[in-house]
Amino acid sequence: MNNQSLPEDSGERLLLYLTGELEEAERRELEQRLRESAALRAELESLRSFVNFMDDKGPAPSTSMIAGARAQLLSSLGSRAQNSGPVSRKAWRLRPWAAAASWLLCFALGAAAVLVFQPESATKSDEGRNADLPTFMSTKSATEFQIAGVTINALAADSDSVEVQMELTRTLRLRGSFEDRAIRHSLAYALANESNPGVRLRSAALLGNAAEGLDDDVKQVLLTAMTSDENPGVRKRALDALSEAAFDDAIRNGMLHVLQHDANAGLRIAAINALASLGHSRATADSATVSILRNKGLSDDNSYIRIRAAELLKEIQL
Amino acid sequence: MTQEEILEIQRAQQGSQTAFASLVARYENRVMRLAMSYCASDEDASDIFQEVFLRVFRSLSGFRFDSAFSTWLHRVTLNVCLTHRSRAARRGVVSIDDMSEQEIVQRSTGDILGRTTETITEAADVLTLVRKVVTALSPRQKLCFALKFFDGHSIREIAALLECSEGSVKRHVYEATKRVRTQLRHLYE
Repeated sequence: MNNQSLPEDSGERLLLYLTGELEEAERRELEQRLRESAALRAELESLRSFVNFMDDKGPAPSTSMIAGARAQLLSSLGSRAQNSGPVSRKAWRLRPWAAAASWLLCFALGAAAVLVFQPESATKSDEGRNADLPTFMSTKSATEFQIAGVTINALAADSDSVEVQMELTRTLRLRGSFEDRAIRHSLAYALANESNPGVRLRSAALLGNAAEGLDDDVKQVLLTAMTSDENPGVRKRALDALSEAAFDDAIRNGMLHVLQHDANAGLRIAAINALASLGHSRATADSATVSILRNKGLSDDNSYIRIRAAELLKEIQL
Repeated sequence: MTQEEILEIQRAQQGSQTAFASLVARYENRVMRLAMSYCASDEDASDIFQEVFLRVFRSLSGFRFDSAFSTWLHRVTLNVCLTHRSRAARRGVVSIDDMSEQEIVQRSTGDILGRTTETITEAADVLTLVRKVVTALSPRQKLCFALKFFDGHSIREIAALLECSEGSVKRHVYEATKRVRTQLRHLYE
């Protein structure tokens, strides 16, 4: 593709067009130019490939990196608190017996946390470690777990009790195909709970590979992500994954919800395109679908969606 | 902001370390991700992380809830990034910001992970390569690019965060896109 043959500002406009951020008049003008220029269409497709490629390529800090940085930060803040006045100093001074009790409690809590939270499937798939959970625990010491964010919440001077709070982490590596339920469920767990949008985005994208054999609970996680994740990229990836799954009412209703309520025009476009490609027919369309499409055809602020909704409505009603 | 978050901020403003630790836990990923988009080195990213939260700790009492806490924190992070001086620079090693564009391209595409970019296909290596290429952009370009492509912000939101015009953000995003595309073309086409 020779970019020299394209107008100078076309690249910037194409990028804004792809991300749904072009003004209405500019968008119409660009669409007209796209119809006329094969070179511009090729450039658009190349840019689209790039945008899709970048979707899940953001840096994803590892748990250990975050835990290390957090521990260092809280330690710095602890030192500041120690130097800032007598009240803070008292809070952080431990008698030797109390310190010993704290660390004993720390290790006990670590072992208990692992016993309670260690997922069975993860242990089974843990590469190179085929031992079951009790054996696994018995061969490991608590020092293998990263301990961060240790705080002492209460220390009464006249009491033998102490309360220590900390976060324990241990890295587990799961390796398997998408047919492995543990893999699918781990990805669904990450999609539902991970605070890092990059991880959620990759999880949703990867679940698209398992779309044909989606479990109901994994499908539910994807539906929730598609309709309510705060990150539009994650919502889009969840929608893409569900587009690959066997069509049913829940998926159709989820996509109609996106079409009706998502503030992001790109998502609404993806939803209506997915609905169209799901093979809508008179048999699958109910009055609610018709009503939503009619409403979108008349009043969506994006002209592409208005046209697409009208087309789809026509198709359904034929 | 949720009511829970508002209470947490208020408790942190009154000096509660537990409440501050909760705020850190809530936003640590977001801050670290942006720092990692800005610096090729994990050490530098961790330095930015420390500086952001220490600055937040020092100035939290001045937060008046005029904007969402996440917006305020984002602005602090962007300011820390823009004024950050890498460990290498502090040691007197040439910073990527001091290199010519030709040198940056050569360094970021020629010898990442000891191989040429054409041989890089493993997912983890691709992520490393993308990070190297993005962090070799100019400071404003990499922030605009990361906010746009990694965090999914709109041009308008980025302009508000960086306190600059939308036109300027568009230019930075596009220029960054052009450079990153050129270097990664073989991976996505």
